[in-house]
Amino acid sequence: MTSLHNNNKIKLGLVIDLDICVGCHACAVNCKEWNSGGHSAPLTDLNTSGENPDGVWFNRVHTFEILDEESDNGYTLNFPRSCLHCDDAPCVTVCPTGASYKREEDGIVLVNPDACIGCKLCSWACPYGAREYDQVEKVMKKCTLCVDKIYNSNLPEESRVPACVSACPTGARSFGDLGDSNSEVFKLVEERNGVDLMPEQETKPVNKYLLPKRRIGNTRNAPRMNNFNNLENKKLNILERFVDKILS
Amino acid sequence: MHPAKSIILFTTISGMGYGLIISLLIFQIYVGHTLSFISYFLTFVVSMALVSGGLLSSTLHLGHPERAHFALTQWRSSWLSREGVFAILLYPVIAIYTLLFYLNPDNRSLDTLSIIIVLIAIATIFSTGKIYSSLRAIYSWNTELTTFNYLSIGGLTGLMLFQSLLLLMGYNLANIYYYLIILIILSCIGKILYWVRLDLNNTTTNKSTALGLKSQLQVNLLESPHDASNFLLKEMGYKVARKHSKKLRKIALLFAFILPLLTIFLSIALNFYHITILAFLFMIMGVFIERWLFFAEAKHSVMNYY
Amino acid sequence: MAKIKLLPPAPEVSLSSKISDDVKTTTCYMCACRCGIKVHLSDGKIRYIEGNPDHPVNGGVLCAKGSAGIMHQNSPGKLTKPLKRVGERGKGEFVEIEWDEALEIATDWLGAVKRSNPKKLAFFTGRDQSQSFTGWWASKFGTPNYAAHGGFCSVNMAAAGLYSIGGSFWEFGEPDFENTKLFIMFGVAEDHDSNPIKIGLGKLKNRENTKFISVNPIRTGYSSIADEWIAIKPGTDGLFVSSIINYILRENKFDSEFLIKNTNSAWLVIDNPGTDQDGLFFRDKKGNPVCFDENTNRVVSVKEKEIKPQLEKELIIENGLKLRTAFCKFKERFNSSEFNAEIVAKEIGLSEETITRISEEIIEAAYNTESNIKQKWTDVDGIVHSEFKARPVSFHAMRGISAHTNGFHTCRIIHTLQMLIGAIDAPGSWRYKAPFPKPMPGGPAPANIIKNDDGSLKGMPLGFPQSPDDLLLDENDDPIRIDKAYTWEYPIAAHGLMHSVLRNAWLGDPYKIDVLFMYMANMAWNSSMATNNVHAYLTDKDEQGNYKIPKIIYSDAFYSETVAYADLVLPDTTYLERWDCVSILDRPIGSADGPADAIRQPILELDRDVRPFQDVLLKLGERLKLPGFTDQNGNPTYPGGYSDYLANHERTPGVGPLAGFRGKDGNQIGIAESNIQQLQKYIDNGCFWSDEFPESARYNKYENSDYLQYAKKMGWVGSDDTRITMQFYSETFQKFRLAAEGHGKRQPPLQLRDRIKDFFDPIPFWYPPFEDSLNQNGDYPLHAVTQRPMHMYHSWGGQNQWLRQITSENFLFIHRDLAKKHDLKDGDWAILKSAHNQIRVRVKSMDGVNKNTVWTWNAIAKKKNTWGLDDNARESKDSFLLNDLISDLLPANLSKQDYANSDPVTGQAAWYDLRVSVRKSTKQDDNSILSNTISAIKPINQVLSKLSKAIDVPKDKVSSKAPEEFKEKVPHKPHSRKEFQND
Ligand SMILES: Nc1nc2c(c(=O)[nH]1)N[C@H]1C(S)=C(S)[C@@H](COP(=O)(O)OP(=O)(O)OC[C@H]3O[C@@H](n4cnc5c(=O)[nH]c(N)nc54)[C@H](O)[C@@H]3O)O[C@H]1N2
Ligand SMILES: Nc1nc2c(c(=O)[nH]1)N[C@H]1C(S)=C(S)[C@@H](COP(=O)(O)OP(=O)(O)OC[C@H]3O[C@@H](n4cnc5c(=O)[nH]c(N)nc54)[C@H](O)[C@@H]3O)O[C@H]1N2
Ligand code: SF4
Ligand code: SF4
Ligand code: SF4
Ligand code: SF4
Ligand code: SF4
Ligand SMILES: [Mo]
Repeated sequence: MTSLHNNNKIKLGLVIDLDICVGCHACAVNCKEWNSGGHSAPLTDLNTSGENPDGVWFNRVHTFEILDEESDNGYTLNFPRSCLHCDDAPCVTVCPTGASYKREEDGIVLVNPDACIGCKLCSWACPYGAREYDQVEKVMKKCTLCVDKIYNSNLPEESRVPACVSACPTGARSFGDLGDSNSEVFKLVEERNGVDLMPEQETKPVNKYLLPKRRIGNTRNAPRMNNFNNLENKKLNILERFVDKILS
Repeated sequence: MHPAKSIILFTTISGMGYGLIISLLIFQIYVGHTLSFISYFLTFVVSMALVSGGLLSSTLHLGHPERAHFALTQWRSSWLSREGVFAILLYPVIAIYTLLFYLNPDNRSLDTLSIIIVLIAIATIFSTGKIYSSLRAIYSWNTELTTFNYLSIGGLTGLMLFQSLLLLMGYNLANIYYYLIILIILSCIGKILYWVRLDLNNTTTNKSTALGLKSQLQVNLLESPHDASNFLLKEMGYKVARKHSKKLRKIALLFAFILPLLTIFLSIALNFYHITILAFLFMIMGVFIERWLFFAEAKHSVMNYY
Repeated sequence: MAKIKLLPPAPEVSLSSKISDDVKTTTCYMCACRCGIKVHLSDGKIRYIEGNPDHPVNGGVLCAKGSAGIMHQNSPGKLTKPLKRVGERGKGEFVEIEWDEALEIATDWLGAVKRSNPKKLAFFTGRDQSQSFTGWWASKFGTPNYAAHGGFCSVNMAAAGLYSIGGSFWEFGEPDFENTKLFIMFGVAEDHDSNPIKIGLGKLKNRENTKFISVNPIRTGYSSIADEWIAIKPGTDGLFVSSIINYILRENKFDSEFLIKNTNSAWLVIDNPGTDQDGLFFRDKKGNPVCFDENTNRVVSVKEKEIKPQLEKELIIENGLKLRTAFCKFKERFNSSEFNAEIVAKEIGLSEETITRISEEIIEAAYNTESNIKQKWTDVDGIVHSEFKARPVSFHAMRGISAHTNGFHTCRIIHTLQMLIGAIDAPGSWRYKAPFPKPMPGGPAPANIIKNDDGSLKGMPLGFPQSPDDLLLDENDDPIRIDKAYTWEYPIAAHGLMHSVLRNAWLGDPYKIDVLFMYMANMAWNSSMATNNVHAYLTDKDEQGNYKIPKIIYSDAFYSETVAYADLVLPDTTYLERWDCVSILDRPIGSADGPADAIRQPILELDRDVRPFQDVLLKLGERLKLPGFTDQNGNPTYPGGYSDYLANHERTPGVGPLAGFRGKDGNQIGIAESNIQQLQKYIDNGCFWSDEFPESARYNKYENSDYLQYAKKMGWVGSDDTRITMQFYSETFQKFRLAAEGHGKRQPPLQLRDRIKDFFDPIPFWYPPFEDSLNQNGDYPLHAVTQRPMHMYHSWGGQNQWLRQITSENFLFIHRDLAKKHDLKDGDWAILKSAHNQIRVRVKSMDGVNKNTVWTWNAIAKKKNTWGLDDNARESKDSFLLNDLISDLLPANLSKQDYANSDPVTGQAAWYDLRVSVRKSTKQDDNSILSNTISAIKPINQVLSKLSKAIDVPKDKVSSKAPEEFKEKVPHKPHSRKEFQND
């Protein structure tokens, strides 16, 4: 149970493009909505009308400012954080009951709510804070990769993706089999040099993040947009015409 | 990490309980089972109370204590499970031992059983230590020094208690002091090393790796995903002021090791061994502070996101 | 008792469990973007809401607000029954009453007004999206006092666009995300096109050789993913773009072909200062404007074919009249070295290099032919083209531009830049959304007070004035409208001035009203300026002890802040419980590729005693016997309620609220007979209708024959063979200016003349926002603005039990350097002071913000005891409303007269002009500042006494009439356009 079968062929997961994530929280809220009635339901909320409203969320969106004093090219980074469905998931191996497990068929890491004793050790073991203890149900919960949506035959084909993926307005989230080198997501990761979070923790996350491309701050020597140098000639032709027109 | 009183209590008390069992049984071998059954039994009851009290309090703090026994199933991979298995295993074995000892107080053949029990007790403390030391997400714990601390301090407090009990029951075995002194020094060094490592803070996990950034840049949280606190922050977000913790470390060292050591020297010098009980009380206080710091000083890697 | 299991049970994962009993489509209304949604229902309750993949607006995505719809529905703050006030206003003491009684009270109050003086009803609505219906109701009631939220929202955008390019930013146009190479976004945090913009940005960012620049003092949200962020100083965008225009002019890199063909820039303008014709287009005998034809070297009508108008030409004609092209006038202004990058850089807060570089990048991208689209199309002259020429530079702008007192002109400057490089409705540029472009000058003028026999207005209350004759002034030149829209103070107030209504009604200026009827706008809170004063306006009494605003009816779905100030509360349903209509007659949801409209259908049963407001409005119309609401026999015209109206109402023959599925069989679109099956057809189609223009009609719509034919068929344009000429130069504006110079029959009062002369410039210009004048001595060095959080919609998003977990307290974000300077650490309390008021706020520092700008999230703060929130909710305990600092009047140092804190052209609320200073809060402040949201610095009674002094000002000092002697000097000339009717 709790031991990992490290031979998952299929590794379902997410690829999150930080270059286009605007930090809108759509993924987080739609996740909450789907899962409030899904496999891990309910996602308990506390103090809903009070001072410290708090609840279970499987996906949380942070906004950071990255400073790069040297180049004065700081930028703002929006960063959704959810379970990475690690290949070497420490949350699974620490679990004393086997409630925490990684599915052999697709690598999804889940919690069996009927077996969980609520010891919270897995939440200590997960470096990413991806585990959410339900203070009312008293069991551990987490991102299910929408296991009850992605295979659900009651839904039309196109809806069989995680809720956060179908909701994301910018298309910053992709879902697929990261174990398959022919998959779209695999190629995307290759192309954009997708990264692991905290690689040194050796959890071997399945989910990958794509880092922002070039960004220019309001700074001294921002590089100019030089994408059009190949058009110099054509451009001149047009401009010649204008100049011609104006001068005549 | 949030220093929950129940966990502090559990780890210190059960560690001491196991230490007491270890001390008791090694003493039994050492003295050839010359302890009176009554004395044995009293010590046994104290140790069982400590061990069980600790175990019970940790169980009651589970979300689902009624399912606690599920925790015994994953001994192949989970240190928490192993801890449970060993803890449970101890009961029947020590019960048999106690029965046999009662039936035949002079039975040297019980030595083998003693060794088995000692090993189980050590394995239990070891597992407890391992639960923490194997958590890579918490740099300060993720070292064998943690396991060593658990073992040494468990043994030390157990022996200290054992010696105090012996004194109360009218025994006095000076040799124990040598072991006490050695254990105090070892534990103290272990703990100091633990803190030295902690302060070196050689962790490779930081705010930049947390975001997958290629180089280490300054990262500031602009907007948290939630305004109020939440489970993660309550559980992992405990922050102690650094200055505060440095002072507490000194107090912990003073009470857990230095004062007991001095007291022991004093008791030897004065030939007034009962002061040892005072050393025990100091130590208990010190170890509580040490354990509080163990949690309070531990920074979970998730805090890189906050 | 549960059986104790020995071993942990094996995991059960139901991969394909049943989700719901039923899935219904409708249109989201967690904001005004109007995405299509699919609502999964289980036991009649919402199980899950997802985006409708087939929907033209969102194509299946769903934002955070939309996803939180279930908590909107489950809110404890929902109203449950009609309420009648019993205690004092503002105290929230009500009794629940039955609908019969509620309707009776409303009918009594409204009936009395209708019989005496209908304009004593002020009917103002928020973002209800049924403006064609509510406006029609007002028009039938006979009150001119109607408007929806545009006046405090973005009328600057709408008017600037509609008076120059016949379409506008806001949600009426969109960048061609598919083809653009360079996208520049000014002052947008979220916008109404919430999902479409995000979808577009996602596409754009994934393309090579494409750049996204965000011009915004704050680097969050969209700006955070921009390839370049320009941390502009608020209010200076117009100057920035002026400098770009200056560069393009100097480099001669404008698109003269486009200018000549599609704008009036080559038209000849009379240059004869001091005369009543100065600045107007010279016209030939037939009344057509003229240009100078290079082919024949003659002045000819612009209507003539086969001519080559000269863009820059000055000449003197026979009678000595000097003429120059509009372009000459424009060039004279923008060629000036005062706009050179090195001169303006400091004022804008950018480097000279940045301005120059961006100017160059615009030029480089604009004339890139890579994105030309091979597609045969025909222009209005019958010329067949083989491709659509690309101009892949697109712009989008919203309230960062419009919510300033210089917003109208700034926006026009941006449109001018678009025209200059021909980047309008070309591949890769900004494009019109259906049903735009509209011919200019165009649009009906606002209906005057002169009524039909049945007491209804002769048109709709809102419209587009084309000359001073269209202003809504009565025979004494006094304002006809309570908000003074369409007066000399705010002549082009095409969306009214909702933010002035409460103050004016309280002051009785220009007159007293009897009933204030509000719908879906939280006017006692986040949509008012000077919120602290507003509470006084609503509760103040005259000497007799009567409320100065006698009767207030309000319809809301929630217990919002405004509810407590109403005398009669009409509880509305939620968007999931009623019929609604997103009509082309309103704020359409179509795209650049074709029109669309949509409905909402009730998908949840009502579980409380509330009614759809539209039904209530119909009922009131019936009870009041308003024309159109009942037939000759007094029977209701739409007995089936709003859905009946939707399917059967015809505004003009064949034109109903919904353009799809018309005609007997439901297979016609646009103008056609109504269809009883129409709503069912909509439901079957996912609650929307959309159509696609033919490929050949998708670009250059202002001159595209196929498009114009389509548009004519739909009734959007009058003719399909006339080019829609853009107003590079606004003759309409010159008419107002001439009036201010003393020409024409209707002239502004003396004290307003300079203002009109200045701001009715036919060519746009930049000037500093008015509140900048408060910083002459450095007292208010900072700009303060708000941004919309992407996950919340004003006050109704902030109460949502999921969304408030994300944000339940707003901080004042300030630059790290500023924080250091004032010794402010994150979480510290600070005092934020404006010339109007001061409040206590908690600060957070950041780097991605203009160094002189502070900001906060909009509308997080809530008043205690509202929205079903607990007393200790941080929204009311620790949060603040920036509106408490925003004066509802322009700075007093600018003029003796009180003007609304608005753009001088359109009356658009200038939320973002605000200037402030900040300092660390001391212990003392804690005692003197009682609450963060309702400031005690300036006690209310002091405010009241100051304001009532304002009423005492002798009438002649603020007279809206020109003194007699002045009038006599002015030669009287009738205007060419429609005469002002004197009775
Ligand atoms: N999520 C969400 N969506 C909404 C709404 C909501 O409340 N929540 N409200 C809806 C409504 S009613 C409206 S009107 C729209 C408004 O949508 P937006 O136009 O996006 O309105 P704001 O959030 O006010 O954003 C204004 C932006 O302009 C910037 N800004 C301020 N001053 C200046 C300036 O002088 N120059 C420049 N370049 N930028 C400036 C601010 O930093 C801010 O980023 O959004 C609609 N959509
Ligand atoms: N400081 C500052 N102030 C601003 C702005 C800013 O940028 N900065 N922006 C301004 C702009 S552009 C706008 S649009 C306004 C927005 O401000 P408001 O128009 O006040 O908008 P909301 O806060 O959304 O409140 C609308 C009211 O409608 C109610 N409501 C919600 N759903 C329904 C329904 O189905 N039926 C009925 N009858 N009522 C309903 C809500 O409960 C709420 O009371 O704020 C303006 N105020
Ligand atoms: S992210 Fe955390 S919870 Fe998810 S698999 Fe990895 S370790 Fe486990
Ligand atoms: S909380 Fe539950 S899932 Fe996590 S380790 Fe404990 S038993 Fe396993
Ligand atoms: S995959 Fe599903 S459960 Fe996981 S974050 Fe996305 S929506 Fe939530
Ligand atoms: S929905 Fe998409 S854009 Fe929005 S926060 Fe999530 S990942 Fe980012
Ligand atoms: S943008 Fe969001 S809230 Fe607005 S209509 Fe679309 S889904 Fe609903
Ligand atoms: Mo708005």
